[in-house]
Order: sequence, then structure tokens, then C-alpha cells
Amino acid sequence: MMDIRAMITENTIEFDADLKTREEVLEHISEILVKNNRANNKEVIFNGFLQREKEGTTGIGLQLAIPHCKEEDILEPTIVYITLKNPIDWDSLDEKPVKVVIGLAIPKKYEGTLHLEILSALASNLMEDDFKDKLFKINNKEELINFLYKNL
Amino acid sequence: MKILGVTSCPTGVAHTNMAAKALVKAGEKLGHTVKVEKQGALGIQNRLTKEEIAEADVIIFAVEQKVREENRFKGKVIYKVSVSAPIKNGVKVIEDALKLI
Repeated sequence: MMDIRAMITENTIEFDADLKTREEVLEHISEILVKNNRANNKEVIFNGFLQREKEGTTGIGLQLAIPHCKEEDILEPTIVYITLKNPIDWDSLDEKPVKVVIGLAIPKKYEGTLHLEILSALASNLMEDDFKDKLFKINNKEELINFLYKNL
Repeated sequence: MKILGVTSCPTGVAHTNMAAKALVKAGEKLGHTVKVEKQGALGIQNRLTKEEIAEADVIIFAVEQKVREENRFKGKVIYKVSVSAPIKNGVKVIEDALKLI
């Protein structure tokens, strides 16, 4: 049975990443996915993320962006959690810079829907100030995974 | 007021759910109950019933995809916005929808 601990690991979390643009962040997320055998082809994944941004920004405001892509080259549903050393412009809905990036990688074909339910629950919960404030304060990988496990 | 919503987005995972939550929360803030049907990667969730649609004063479409089974809403007052609109300012979307009544 899949739970969120199969989707986010200490290798897919990074605090205080020194990245300067939206493109750099998306490329970095793509690298993390490939390095951890969660996706096949960095270029395809990177383009998938870029394409989604073109359809509309994933900077949803309040310092958060949730870039996502759905590709056949994604092998495992994955959450990449990155906090940025310096806030960056993401063309956000509230026009303010982004500090936390939660990347969602979704396989195109995948048995079962539990991962979609977990990602959906995460998206809904991110609209709750209380959940988001608590999440953003965590700066320990294990604690972050446990928090998500307990709250989704 | 009886307000309903339908949300959808290209991937059907993130914005669909966030917009739905945003509409419900904005409704609570304004003292209205809002039920939102999510049309996403998991299919149709929280489906609006025939009765609910019949009784609704206004239906908000916060969609980036063609509304599934759109003929259910024929003849209803529809307020259509982007899926981002309620995430950005849910209260404004509901207030604007109510102006149509």
C-alpha cells in the first residue's frame, strides 16, 4: 500500500537551495527526479514543467509555487520540496516572490489512484493557512515527512 | 443563496483541488454554503446532484477544461472564471457571481 513516504524522501527535500530563477528551480527539480530514479529523461521532465507554467503560473501566492508535470517518463509519483535561500519571481497570482516550491511529478500511466488522492489532499490542504504555516516552519527533513504523513 | 461550483485544470490534480477549497472557504467567510464538484484526474468528485443543480441560484465554473456533462447545467445562471481566480481571491469570485442573480 502506497503512502506519502513512498512519494517524498529525504532525497527529494532540499532546504535553502541557492537558485535564482523559476527555470533554474524547475531544472533542479527535474535533476532530483532523475538522480533518484523517479524519472527517465531530464529534458522531457523539465519541458513538461515549463509547458505547464506556460498554460498558467503555478505560483499560487503567499510565497508558494506548486509546479507539476505529468509525463510518461515519470516512473514514480513524487513530491519534491524545496525552500529557497532567496525568494524568486514566479509571476505569482499575488505578484509576490516565492519562497517554497513543491514540485509534483505524476506518471501518465500508473496503477491505482492513491497517489492522486494524496496529491489532491496536499493541494487542498495548502489552501489552509494553519497547515501551510506549520509546514513552512519545518526545517528538518524527517519532521517534514512525518508532518505530511500525519496530516494527509 | 445557494451557490455551486465546478473546478478543473489541465493536470487535474493541483488547481482543481485548490480552487474547490478556495470557493468553499470564501463561501464560509461570506455566510454561504458552497458545494463544489471537482472534475480532475480522479474523475468527477463530489458530484452535484440534479436537485442541487435545480435549486442553485448561481453556478461558478472555475475551469480550464470543457465542463464534463455540461448539459446538466442548461438554463442555469453560470459565472465562468479561470481556475486561478478563486485561488487568487475567492471572495471576489463569489461576490461577482452573486451580482448575476
